[in-house]
Amino acid sequence: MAEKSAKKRPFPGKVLMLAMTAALMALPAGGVFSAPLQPRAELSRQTEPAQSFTGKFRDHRETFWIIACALLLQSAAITLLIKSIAGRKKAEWELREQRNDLERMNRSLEQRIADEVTKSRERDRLLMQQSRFIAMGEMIGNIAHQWRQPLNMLGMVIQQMQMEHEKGELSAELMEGRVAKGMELLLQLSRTIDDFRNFFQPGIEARPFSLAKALARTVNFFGPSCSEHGIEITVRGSCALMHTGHVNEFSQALLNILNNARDALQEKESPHPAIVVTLVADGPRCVITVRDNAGGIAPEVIEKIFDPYFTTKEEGKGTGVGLYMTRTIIERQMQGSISVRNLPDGAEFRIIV
Amino acid sequence: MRCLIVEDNELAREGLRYFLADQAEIELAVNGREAVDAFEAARARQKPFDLVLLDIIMPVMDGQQALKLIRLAEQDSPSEAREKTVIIMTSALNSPENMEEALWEGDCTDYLVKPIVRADLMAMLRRYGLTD
Repeated sequence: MAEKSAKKRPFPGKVLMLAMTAALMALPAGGVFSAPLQPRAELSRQTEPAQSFTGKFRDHRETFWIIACALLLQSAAITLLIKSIAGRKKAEWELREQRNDLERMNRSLEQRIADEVTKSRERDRLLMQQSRFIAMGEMIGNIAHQWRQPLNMLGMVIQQMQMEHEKGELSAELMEGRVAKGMELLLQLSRTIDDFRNFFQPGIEARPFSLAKALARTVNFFGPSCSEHGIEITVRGSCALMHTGHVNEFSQALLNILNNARDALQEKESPHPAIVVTLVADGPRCVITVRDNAGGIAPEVIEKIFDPYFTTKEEGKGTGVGLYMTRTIIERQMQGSISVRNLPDGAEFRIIV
Repeated sequence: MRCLIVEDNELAREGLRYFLADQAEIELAVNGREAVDAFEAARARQKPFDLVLLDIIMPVMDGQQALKLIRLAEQDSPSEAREKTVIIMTSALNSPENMEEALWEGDCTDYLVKPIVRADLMAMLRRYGLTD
């Protein structure tokens, strides 16, 4: 039997196959563990001579190898199985995590975009307010002058009346003339207040307005600050087009350009400082140009002049808000366009609305 | 007293003339250029002005520039050894920059901010010994 079994020593591949089959069959039931224990138990109780033991041993050698291989393969298979399950689970988990991360990123990206948009709107609103305050400050200066002149005249009329009365020169006719002049001056002052209030009252709703009239009103408002510095300002051309929007914003957009032109002229001390404003209709659009003879804008900064907080004015004088606001109003609020270029003697702003 | 009133606004100019009509022999100018010309002409005639009331914001030439040219003209003939003409700026501008420019760079005598009150003007003239 021993010889037979030695002769029929199984082919390793056959052993492997058997072991695998046994391992697979034993896997769920754990039956493999009961079978191999038996010969060992028998061995441990062995009282027969060595020969018999060897024989018995040889008898069970095949079974032993099969079981040993089965155990080995079983543990390998389990390890592999565990590894593969663990691997799959890990991959799934990683995938889920990645998906979650992506979702989180998407959500936070959307949130961030929304936040940025809100922030940007808020910044523009503040800038608008800031630029309105700055313009208001400048206008108060203008008003002070616009007011002192008629106030002075009114003062003259009143004091003259008193003197004329003292001298016995105040006839009814003269008195009437003086009162008429005084009242005319008072009404002029009153209109200045209305203009000022209307100018800075933020428009509540969009209304159709005449671009030419709005321009004329702005130039009229701005005029005194020009004459104060000997700057000649002229308006040429005409345009009958109406635009629906906030007239005060449009005025402010223009005013910012005019203020810059005046400041540049003042700084350059041009011999014949002048600002020329033109407006012409071009089909459904109105083209407005504001030209000065202050020498133009340095080529290295001309690209940046509409950027927020960019200023060429000396510290404390410029805020860098004006032209940015002008561009925002013209492009965003009025769906128009604005550009600037240098001419031989100065700068020209071109607004198309 | 001889007085030159420099003012582009007609009503204000006439008002000032009326204020001083009893005290002075008056000449009028409507801008800085005219003022300088009138000032030099009066000196040439040996009848210089004792008082110049000078507005600042005017066309052609503003009061600040006229003031400097008048002071320069005065220096041209030191032989006359006259006291400097009393020049009072009369302006709607009450900013420190304008006042400093007139007082320090232009060397004006005094500065009156519009609206001009006759009593203030008279007090100022008394201070400079130009009226009783």
